[in-house]
Amino acid sequence: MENNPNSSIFDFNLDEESRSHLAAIAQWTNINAIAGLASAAITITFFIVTLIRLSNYGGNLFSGLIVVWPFISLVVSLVLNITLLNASSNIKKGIEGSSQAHFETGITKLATYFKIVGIITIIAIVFVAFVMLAGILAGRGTGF
Amino acid sequence: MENSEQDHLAGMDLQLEGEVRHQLNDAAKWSRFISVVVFFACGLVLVSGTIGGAAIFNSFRRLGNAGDIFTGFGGSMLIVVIFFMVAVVALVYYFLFNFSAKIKSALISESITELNAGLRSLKIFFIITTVFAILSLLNTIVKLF
Repeated sequence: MENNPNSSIFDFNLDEESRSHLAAIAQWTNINAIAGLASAAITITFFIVTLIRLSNYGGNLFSGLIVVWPFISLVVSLVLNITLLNASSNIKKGIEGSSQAHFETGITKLATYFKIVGIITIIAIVFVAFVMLAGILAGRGTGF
Repeated sequence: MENSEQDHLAGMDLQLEGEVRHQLNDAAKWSRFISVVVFFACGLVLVSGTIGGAAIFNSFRRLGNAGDIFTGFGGSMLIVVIFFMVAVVALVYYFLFNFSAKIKSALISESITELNAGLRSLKIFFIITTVFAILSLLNTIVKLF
């Protein structure tokens, strides 16, 4: 039996099918990220135009929650989609050039993407719990 | 330098060792959490949608003739729409859950079949979410004009 120095009994390598799936994942995540970035850009442009138009009627609309909430959404969307775009391009480079370094970076970025979505999910759960608690307390206060 | 040496060693085979293995395990862990939360949210929407739908149903019934159109068609339609949307979301996140389960199993058993099943699920998940992302983008564009 030939002894290959690059492999051991614990080697776990990708086969053709895995490569094909990963190539498709890279392609679709790329489209997904571009669509997300375009959507964020359009939404923020529309929001700024609306704010400028409304400010013509008087008052300072560039303050408080009106600006903070879309700004947070934009930052989250940018971070998520840029991470996904990085994952996509690195996985693609890794698969096409058989580059372990690029493949590793791609998978790391994909894991980071899921981590960010997970953290946003936790924040959303906490937010919903607070709203429900406030609703229950307000209901008790009004006698319901 | 280190990277090129690593690339040279890897040759044609991309290996699932060290950092890749750790990151895949992380991705599986987080995707499991996300999908479980979505399943739970789907359950909540289903319960509140059915109860809320029934309440809306009764409210329109009290309106008499004016509410007939809602009690006859609209009320049940609302429940059907809620069920359909929940089913679609649950199906999408089933693929993410499947990705998580298969990858975890693949990393434990070092089975390439399990790994491929996991990657196939992730591919389907991203295909569906991308279609939704494109539809959302088109919807935003349409709203502008």
